[in-house]
Amino acid sequence: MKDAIDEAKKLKEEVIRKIEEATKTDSDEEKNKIISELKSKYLKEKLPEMFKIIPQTKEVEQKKLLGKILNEIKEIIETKSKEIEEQKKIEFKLPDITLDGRTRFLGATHPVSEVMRQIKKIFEKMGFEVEDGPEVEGDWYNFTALNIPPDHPARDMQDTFYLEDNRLLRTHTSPVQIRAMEKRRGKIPIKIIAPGRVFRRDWDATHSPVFHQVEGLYVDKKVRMSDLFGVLEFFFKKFFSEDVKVRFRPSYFPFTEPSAEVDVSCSICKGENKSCKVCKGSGFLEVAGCGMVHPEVFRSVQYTDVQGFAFGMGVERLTMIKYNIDDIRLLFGSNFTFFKRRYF
Amino acid sequence: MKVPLNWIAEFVDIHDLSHSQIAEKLVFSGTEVESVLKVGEFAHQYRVVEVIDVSKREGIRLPVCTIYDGQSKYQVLTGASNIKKGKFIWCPPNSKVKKGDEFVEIGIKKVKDISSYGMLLSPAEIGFPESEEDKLLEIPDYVEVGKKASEIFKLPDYVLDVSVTPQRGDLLSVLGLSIELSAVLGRSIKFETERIWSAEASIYQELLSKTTDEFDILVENSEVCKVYFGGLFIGKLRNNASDPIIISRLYLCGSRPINPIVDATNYILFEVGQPTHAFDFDKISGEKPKKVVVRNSKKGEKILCLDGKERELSDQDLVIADSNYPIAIAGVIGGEKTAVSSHTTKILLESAFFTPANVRRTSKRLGVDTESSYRFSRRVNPSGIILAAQRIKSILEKEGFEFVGARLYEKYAEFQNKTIEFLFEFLSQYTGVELQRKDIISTLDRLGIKTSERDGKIICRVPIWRGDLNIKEDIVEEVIRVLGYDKISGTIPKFPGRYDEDQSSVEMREFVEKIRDKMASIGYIEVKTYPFSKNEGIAIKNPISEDFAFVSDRLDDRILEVIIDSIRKGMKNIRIFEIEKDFSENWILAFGIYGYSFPQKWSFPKDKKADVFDLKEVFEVIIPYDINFSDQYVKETNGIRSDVFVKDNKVGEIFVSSFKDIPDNIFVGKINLNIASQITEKFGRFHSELPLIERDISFYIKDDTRWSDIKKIFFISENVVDVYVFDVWEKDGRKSITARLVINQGDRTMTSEDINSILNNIISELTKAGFEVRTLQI
Repeated sequence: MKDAIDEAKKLKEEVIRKIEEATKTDSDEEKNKIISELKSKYLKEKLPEMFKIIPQTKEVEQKKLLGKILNEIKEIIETKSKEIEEQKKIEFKLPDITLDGRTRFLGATHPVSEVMRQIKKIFEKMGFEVEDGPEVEGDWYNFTALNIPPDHPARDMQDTFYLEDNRLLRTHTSPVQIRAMEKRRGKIPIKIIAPGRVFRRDWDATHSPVFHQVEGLYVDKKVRMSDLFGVLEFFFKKFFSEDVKVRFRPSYFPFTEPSAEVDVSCSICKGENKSCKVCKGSGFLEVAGCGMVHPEVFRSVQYTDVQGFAFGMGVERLTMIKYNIDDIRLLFGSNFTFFKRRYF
Repeated sequence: MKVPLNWIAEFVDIHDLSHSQIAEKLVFSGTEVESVLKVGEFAHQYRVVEVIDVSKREGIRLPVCTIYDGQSKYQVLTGASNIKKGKFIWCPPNSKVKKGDEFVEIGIKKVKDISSYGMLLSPAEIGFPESEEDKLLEIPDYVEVGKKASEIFKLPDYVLDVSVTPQRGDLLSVLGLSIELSAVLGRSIKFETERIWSAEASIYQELLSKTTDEFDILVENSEVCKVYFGGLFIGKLRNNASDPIIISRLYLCGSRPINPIVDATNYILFEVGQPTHAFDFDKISGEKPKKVVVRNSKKGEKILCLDGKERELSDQDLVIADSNYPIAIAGVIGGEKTAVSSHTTKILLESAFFTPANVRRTSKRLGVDTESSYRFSRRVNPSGIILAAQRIKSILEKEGFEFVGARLYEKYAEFQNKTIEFLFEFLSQYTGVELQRKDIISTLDRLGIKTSERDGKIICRVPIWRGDLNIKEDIVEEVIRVLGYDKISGTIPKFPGRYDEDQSSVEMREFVEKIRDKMASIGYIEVKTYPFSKNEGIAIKNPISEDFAFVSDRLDDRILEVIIDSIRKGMKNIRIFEIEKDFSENWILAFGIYGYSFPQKWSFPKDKKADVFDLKEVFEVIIPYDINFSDQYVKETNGIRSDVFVKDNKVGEIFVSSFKDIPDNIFVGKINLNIASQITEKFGRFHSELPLIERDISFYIKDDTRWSDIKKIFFISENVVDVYVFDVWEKDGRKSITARLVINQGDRTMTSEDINSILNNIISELTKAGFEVRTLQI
């Protein structure tokens, strides 16, 4: 029986040695090998065999001793292998992660849609509401009601697509001014923006036969030019950046009096490059037209004793300036692949 | 409009200002300056010479000219066709001339045994923009040889190209622009503006008192022709060319000299802004007194115009006619028959006022845009009519013509100076800036607006040349634009919170934006298409091209076109969409697919071609309810079209098309978002703390079985929250579907009996409907 005890002791030493080995080695592979050997060979084979000897042992003392040693071995294997297991470095084998990710088709919203959202958001913050109007318009809404009577030379300012039955494709979003006032029948205040498509018979690098505008109209008792300037300054600073300079130049639109063109400082060259392609060295870019609503316009919708301002801006133009796109045609038709790039 | 600064300088003192300072002043008071061009920087090197001999030498192609510059004689070769004895401009050796956009140095050229000294110059070589390159510039014989070109032409000079807004017809002349500039610079005008402040002929008594009975003026349409002055001149041209100053300025204004008579009228057109016309009086038919009739044309009447083109008139055009035929289209263009030449001995000079709308209509209809029609359609200054005639008279007299007498038809009484009055406070109340009274008054005064004050009101009397000033807001603009818009500092109004917005359209717009993002998130790129078509939509009367003959709201067709275009550009995998309103104000989503179901990259299945189920993905994303496709496929030229329904509502269409030169099918769909936004479903029991249970049922189907017909069977129990086709396969020649059910356990854990009972119900329903269940995987 003494043999059995000696054998158990030897087994214990063996196990302790193996565990030391496993603890020492740096190789996880080696650790795994030893631990699985301990678990399979020792824990599942050798120990159960040895345990079988215990019932055959007669001496109680020896019985106890053998049982104690075997249980110790069992415990050592279980606890130590757990410890060693935990020691193991956490190691994943990654494939070449520079290979393309499993990105499905990359979609994108259109830059003009994005800019349109930005514009709406800023004006909505100021309390403007959004108003719609039809693209196929009548002469009254597009011209006459806006103080552009037939045969007025101002009709040459906008090359118009004419349809049958005295209809036309609206050349600007300004007809929505008329529609919005008609709808409200004399009620004030009115504070709207009207985004939408407009059409002009013109097609080159800076003109498209179809493009987007955002119209603005604010009508109340005593609206002043300074209010117009303030609102547009606020808008362009929010739209471009706080340090952008906004300036107003006298101009002419039949439906506003006084009228102004709005320029913003060139965000590309900051006015420092005389050969800047974007602003042509002027340091400023024309971005909108505006003015105080002409009394004739109020007359045509039977509004009296009010003052107001109106403005209009080209969304493609703002998009081109903001995202440095030099040809308007890139925003239309089959030139969409570059939209996938993040630009906002 | 092009204006040379040296000419302006005759009316306003600008000697201390640079061209860019002047341009800036104009820009910030409302007159855009498109460009500033420097002209004739080498003109001081060129000299007037006399060609005293032109001869041919054997073996030399070009004629050899002997020239005299006042000191010596030189030989010069020239290839110009108009070489003859006379006065020309010469570039001596070692000076530069303009060739195209560059300056080229000229030396002594040797051709055979002849040395050619310098060169004789064309207008383009002198530096006149857009002028003749192959013809020498002829100058009158009286100009002394040896004089510098810079002196006789007043060069170098800067030419401003100004873009005048349509209401400011008064700025379309050197005089008009000078008055404006004097106001914005705060300087006096070297012109007696009182002479043109109101419209009356009386100040021109000297000119008008001399009448003639050689002709009669008969104005038949006095609605359109308000003033008609006719002046008769007799004589013979004294000089071969106009005064060099006139030549130079005509070029700088973008015109060209023709002969001294025509030049005189053009010169005054640019100076005063009044278009005039010179007729060869002998070529006007009729007996003394000849009839000069201002009348409407007769329909179908024709006239051969000065530009060599014959034009057919309507009954709306105003013409100048002799007793039978039109001799000019009023305010637009003269007739060839009565054109003056250098041989003309009797000139009838016309200076008139035609109403803007009429001239504009005729000019538009005939497609003739002249310096004259441009000015008439923007309203010429009624007080410039006789002024122009008088100035032309003085030029013609120098050129050898004597003034015989004039006839005048006028309704000057219709041109009254307007009075506009308003309270002073209105200015600050409208602009939001406090302005000094004295600044207001002096600004208006410099613009020719006479002011007085009464009871806190300012009374403005407007000069006759300002047809655009009618209301008090116009005066506000005049004051503030001259003082500067930068005087106004921005204020933000307190916007009162009143909302008139139509809630349903607000919601619709929000829905549209959501769809836009959804489409982008499932891999579609948003595009903007040109809403035009070759053959469908609303016809455009004046299309930009044949391909864009109609305006169309068929967004799906446009998407198809863009896809085809992209394929031709070499793209192989395309997913795009667009959202726009149609003519009925419905928001339409159109989208299209070409190529593969997956990106063709290493980590995706290869070569899986896109099909109609890729298209269906969009419908399922946008409208996550039961979608049905119509059985009725409509065959079209390039494919088949089918309607798409949700609960009996047509929400859209799909179109599967194929084209000869394109390898794969193109899939296009469209959805009416207004309808789609209305489709909602109440949520059933959807929340449970317990895990969802999945079970698969496989069953055989028939050839004509449609999944949409079977699908509802699976929802007998309300615990079934989702069913989808897990697999479609064929075995032993029979088609089979594996459907996966998702079961929500509800409030308590389901026993296998509970689940089996649900499944058994489904199986018995399937069997009843004639489908044999193969396996049930639990």
